[in-house]
Amino acid sequence: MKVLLIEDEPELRKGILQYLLQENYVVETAEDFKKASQKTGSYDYDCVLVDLSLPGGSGLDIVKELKRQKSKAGIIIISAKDSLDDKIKGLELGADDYLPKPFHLAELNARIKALIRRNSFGGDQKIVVNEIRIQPEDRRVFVHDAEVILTAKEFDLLIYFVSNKNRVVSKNAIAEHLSGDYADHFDHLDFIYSHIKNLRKKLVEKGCADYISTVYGIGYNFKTTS
Amino acid sequence: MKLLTRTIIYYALMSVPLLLVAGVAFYFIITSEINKSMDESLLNTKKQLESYLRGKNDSSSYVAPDGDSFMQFGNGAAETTIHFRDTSIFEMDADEYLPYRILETEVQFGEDHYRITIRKASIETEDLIDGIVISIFVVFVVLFVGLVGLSWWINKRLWKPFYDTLTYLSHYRIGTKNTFRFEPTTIAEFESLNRSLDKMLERIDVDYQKQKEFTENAAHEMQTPVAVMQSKIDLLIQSKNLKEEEMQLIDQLSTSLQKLSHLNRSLLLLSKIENKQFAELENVSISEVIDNSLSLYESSIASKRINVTRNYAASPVIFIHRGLCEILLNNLIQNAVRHNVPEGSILLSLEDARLVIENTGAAVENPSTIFERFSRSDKSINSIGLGLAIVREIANVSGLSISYHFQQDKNRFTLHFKG
Repeated sequence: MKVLLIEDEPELRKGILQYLLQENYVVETAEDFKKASQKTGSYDYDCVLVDLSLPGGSGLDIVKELKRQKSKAGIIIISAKDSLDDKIKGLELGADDYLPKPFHLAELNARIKALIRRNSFGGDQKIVVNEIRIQPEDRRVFVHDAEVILTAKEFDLLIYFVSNKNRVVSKNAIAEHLSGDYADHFDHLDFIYSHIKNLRKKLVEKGCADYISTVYGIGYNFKTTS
Repeated sequence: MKLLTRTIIYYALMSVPLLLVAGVAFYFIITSEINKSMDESLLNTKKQLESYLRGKNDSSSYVAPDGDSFMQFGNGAAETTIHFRDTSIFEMDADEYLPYRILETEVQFGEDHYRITIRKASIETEDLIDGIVISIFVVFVVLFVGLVGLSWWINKRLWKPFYDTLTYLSHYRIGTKNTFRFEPTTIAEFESLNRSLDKMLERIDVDYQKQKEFTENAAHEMQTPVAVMQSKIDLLIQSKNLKEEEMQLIDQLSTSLQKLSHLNRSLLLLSKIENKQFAELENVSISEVIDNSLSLYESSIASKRINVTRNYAASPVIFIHRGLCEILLNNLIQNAVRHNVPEGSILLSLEDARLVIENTGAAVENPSTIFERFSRSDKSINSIGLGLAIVREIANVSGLSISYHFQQDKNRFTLHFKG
């Protein structure tokens, strides 16, 4: 899995890089427009993460160029501009997703996984984690081939956990993920606990191992390795 | 009070005493003039009489040819002084006392002394005063009408640039693109007023623009360091060797950073709304947006056991930016949930022209500032105090209006779709 990260802020670039490398991706980076267009012109990527305001040009032009090349790469715009118009323009140009800064690395990771899943050919989008099988296209979950009925929020939570498995995911990241684009997620902080409790209960009832562990004070970890 | 009204009142207040004084003076001047001419006429008669007496002297009374003067002769002392006096004599014909001017003198012809009294009917004082009052009144009316007309005309002509300036200023809105220029005028004072105002408004516009850009740029520039911190915290919590206290510290750090980030995004959103950066409008069904929004808060609603009643009497569709409309209704519903009491209620009444959101809850301390930025009633609640400010700003730019009332233990927000 090859990922190109186009981001001019060095510390943010390092942070994202460090997080994504743990996913066993091949991650390349570009810090300005020139290097970015060189790389997109010479190599194929599965996913391109592009910042909009770059030294030497706009990330939107890179999106345009990728689309002109009929690139198969999934494109996620990461932008500090956080403007609805940029989002619309980016998506119209062919970007697959738009993630406003600041974001949680877990969120970025989940979005990359969702994108790669959608773009993977064969239409076989199943996610299998040991005894759990998730079918994102019809939003169904099976444990040992027995279906588990989850609410929309529980389903989103499970996907989020599985995308970030074996990592500590903070309560804030979860709350932000579960709330809408502009909704204030602080109200959700108090309900994460009950959502997670219900999710755990439903999975364990079907004979699933209890993968979700609490990381004191901070958040949760979906641990599939001990 | 208008300038014209004030001018006319001043004119009227000044002309009344002036005309009164003028009337009194007029009266005395007229009477003295009349007396003078009457006295001359009496003296004239006396001369005629003397020449007559030189001819005939057998009658004791004489009626002058003018029929007005009446003379009596009598013996008197040898004096040659002439007295004039006024008197009233009862007239049988008119059945009243009439005023007369009388000349008394003594003349001597040879050895004989004659006492001559000549009287002449004079104009009645009452008639005179009446005449004067009427003429003063006519003058007053003419003067007043003239002044009003003149003031109106002067007002129209002379003050026109002033009123133009006034109209312009009353239409002036800060932050809007003003292409208007003050019309040039030949009156130096107004020209200088316009020039000063022009400079002042230009300065205000520039400052305002700078201020707005500053807010947007500052919020924008802060996003990157916040994003860096966020990513570093996300990496830090992956560490295997964290102690419990360290985790608590990280959690507090993370929550504060989250708030900062949210605050920043809200400020950015506010300045973008102000700068009208949301131009793409479409037809949006309000009921649909409300339903979506309610689903976002279903967990909070359930945990507080709030009873939500949807009362859709109509399904209005308004022409608005979809994203802004969602934010607007999200914020209102979030507010109704957040400031609700356990087992409270929310009532959403949707009509053709308005949406009313009513929730149980305590009254707001300062209802007048509820839509102001950072006006929180309760600092402990997870609120940054920008939600309702954003609501008002979106309503403003979208041609809607929002109002708040507290009645019967309920907070009631009314969103009017047409202005």
